[in-house]
Amino acid sequence: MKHILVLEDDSALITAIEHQLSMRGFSPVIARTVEEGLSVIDGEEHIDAIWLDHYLLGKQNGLDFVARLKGSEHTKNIPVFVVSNSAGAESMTSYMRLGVEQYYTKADYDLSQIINDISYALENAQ
Amino acid sequence: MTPTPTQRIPLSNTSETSWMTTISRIAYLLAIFVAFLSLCAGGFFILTPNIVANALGIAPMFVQIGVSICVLIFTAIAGLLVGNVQRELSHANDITQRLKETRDRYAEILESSGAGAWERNLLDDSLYVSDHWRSLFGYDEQHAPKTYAELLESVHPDDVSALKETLTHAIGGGMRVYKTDYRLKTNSGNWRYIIEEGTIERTSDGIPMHVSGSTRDISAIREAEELLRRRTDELRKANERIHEEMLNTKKFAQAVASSNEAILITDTTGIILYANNAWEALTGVSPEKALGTYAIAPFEALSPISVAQSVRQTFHDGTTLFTDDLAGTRGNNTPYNAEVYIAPISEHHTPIFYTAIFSDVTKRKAVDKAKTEFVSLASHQLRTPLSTIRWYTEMLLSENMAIPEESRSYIKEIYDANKRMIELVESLLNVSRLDLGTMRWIPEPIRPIEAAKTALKELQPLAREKHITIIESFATDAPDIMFDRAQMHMIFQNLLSNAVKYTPQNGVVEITIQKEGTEHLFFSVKDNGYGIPADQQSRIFNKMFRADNAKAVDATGTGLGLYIIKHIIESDGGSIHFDSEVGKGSTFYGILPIQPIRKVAEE
Repeated sequence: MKHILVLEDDSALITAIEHQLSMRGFSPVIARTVEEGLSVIDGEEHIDAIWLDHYLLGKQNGLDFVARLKGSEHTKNIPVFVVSNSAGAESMTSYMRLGVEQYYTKADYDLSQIINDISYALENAQ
Repeated sequence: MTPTPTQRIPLSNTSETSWMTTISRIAYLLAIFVAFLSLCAGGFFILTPNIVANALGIAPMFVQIGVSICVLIFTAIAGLLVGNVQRELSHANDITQRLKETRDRYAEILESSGAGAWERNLLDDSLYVSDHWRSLFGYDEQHAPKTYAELLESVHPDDVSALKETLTHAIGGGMRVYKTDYRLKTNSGNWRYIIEEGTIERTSDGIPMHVSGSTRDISAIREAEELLRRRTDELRKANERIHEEMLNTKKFAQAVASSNEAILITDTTGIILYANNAWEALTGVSPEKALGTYAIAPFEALSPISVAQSVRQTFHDGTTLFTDDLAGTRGNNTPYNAEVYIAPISEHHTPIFYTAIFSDVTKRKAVDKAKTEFVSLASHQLRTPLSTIRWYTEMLLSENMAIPEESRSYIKEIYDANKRMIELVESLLNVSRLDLGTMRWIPEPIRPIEAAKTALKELQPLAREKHITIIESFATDAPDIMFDRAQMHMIFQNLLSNAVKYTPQNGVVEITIQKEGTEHLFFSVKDNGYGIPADQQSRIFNKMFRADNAKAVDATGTGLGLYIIKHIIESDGGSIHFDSEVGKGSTFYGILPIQPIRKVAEE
């Protein structure tokens, strides 16, 4: 069972994401802040992929998280899927430069489309 | 002292001299009378000696003696007379010679000053002119004027009466000297300006006898005066013009100095030669300190590198530049933003100076930033609930949910309506970005055919539903173009979705992509659908405009798509057009440059 770390702060969306990921056979782990997310990464569970929103609770945002992730040898290869509604193309370029797997504008995609892509990427990574 | 010509009447101005002359005249007459008598007596005695001897009663020998005595007397007197006359003659000759020499010397002295000497006899109006006089006016001895009246003939007609008046006044009025000027004609017919100065000599009773004087040719002086007058006039006029220009320059300088905008004048390398007072208000650097420094030095630290490069390039190339991306901080760490317009001042197409006009745009930039952030935030805020609706309706519609068919169809309506809302928000966001100039523009090499195919894939479901045939006419030599990926996608997505939407069942949509010339890409999307009514075609690219027949087909379009892509295409230096006929279909076509025209925006 693959573990997906989900960094998202909107409750309704969390419920939907969690539900669908479980339905598709993934094990979602939820974090609402960068700190929470980092402690999950550093923790016991092995994380196979990361679902990342840009705007999160707390001071730091998704970019900070990715920067930290890519800075560490044992985390830098975890695939990151940015799923965000932020309007700024600036952040998108920054994410792509940091080396995320894909960037989705949340409202433009069905949940199932995103989960399909994650599933596909994880299968091929093996 | 005046020269004495040979024709001069001797001066006789003392009564003693006349008395002596009378005595000597009587003496001469007496001597001649005695000589004559002797001659007669002698002749008588020689011719008739006997008669005389008989008459007198003396011997003929005494008659002969008497003859000899008479002859002696006669010879002596004759000899004396002749000798006297000779002596007087030679004396007169001497005097004449000496006077001639004196005259000549005086003439020389006079004429060494350039004047021509002359003498006029007032009794017979005869005129003597010196050699120098003749050479001044080109006369030889034959043609030189012999009388003053002759001379007057060579005087300029406009000057004759004034000259006569002056002479009348001087000579008749008892004056001793006079000076006048007039124009005299030379022998060759040229006019000369001359000054005539004369001294009038009179008898003891004041009767004017003659005038002697000198004539000076002042033509050269006159010409010089005339030239001087003209030059002075020209100088005066030039002075007036300079004064005028200086006033204008002053006005201009004042306008520049007191302008609210910071104005610099630089040399051809961008070094400041002049900064007005507003420069200090803008940058915190005084005009004095600014002299000799580089024009955008205060901005280099905080402005984008590309801007600094563009400015350097402008000074190098002699072109103009406008940018509003300058940023700096004033002394007390107040940050500010500025825009600048740099333009060369050229002479014969070569820049010799540059002017740079700056404006503080801090407020405007702050407002723009606030707008952009607002749009950003608003779109994020709007999208979040839309995402929620989307995903929840999606979940409700998924197979594992036990939703009855009727409810399912309602939920589908919610899902579809929500999707349209999402598209609208996206379009509004793009329009804001276009208007604010913050649209993302990151050019990369794009394969247009790939971009088109991606857009086509997205339309597959709808095309299949309407049984629309898609024809792909992709040229093999279609070039890659430098373009922003998202915007390229927008163009194809919009054109293709319009084509599919506004074509009825079983229609045909053809997309063409090929090379155009050496520097452009040509694209077109053709459909055989409803077409655009002629009276609405001019507004088709307007914001939120939808043709009536389009609304009838699909009530949900935003009317923003064509506005957005037209803006994108034209900002890049491309163009887009269409041909359309109601009931026949529409063809939208255009070109894009392979290399982008606009500079890369740093976001």
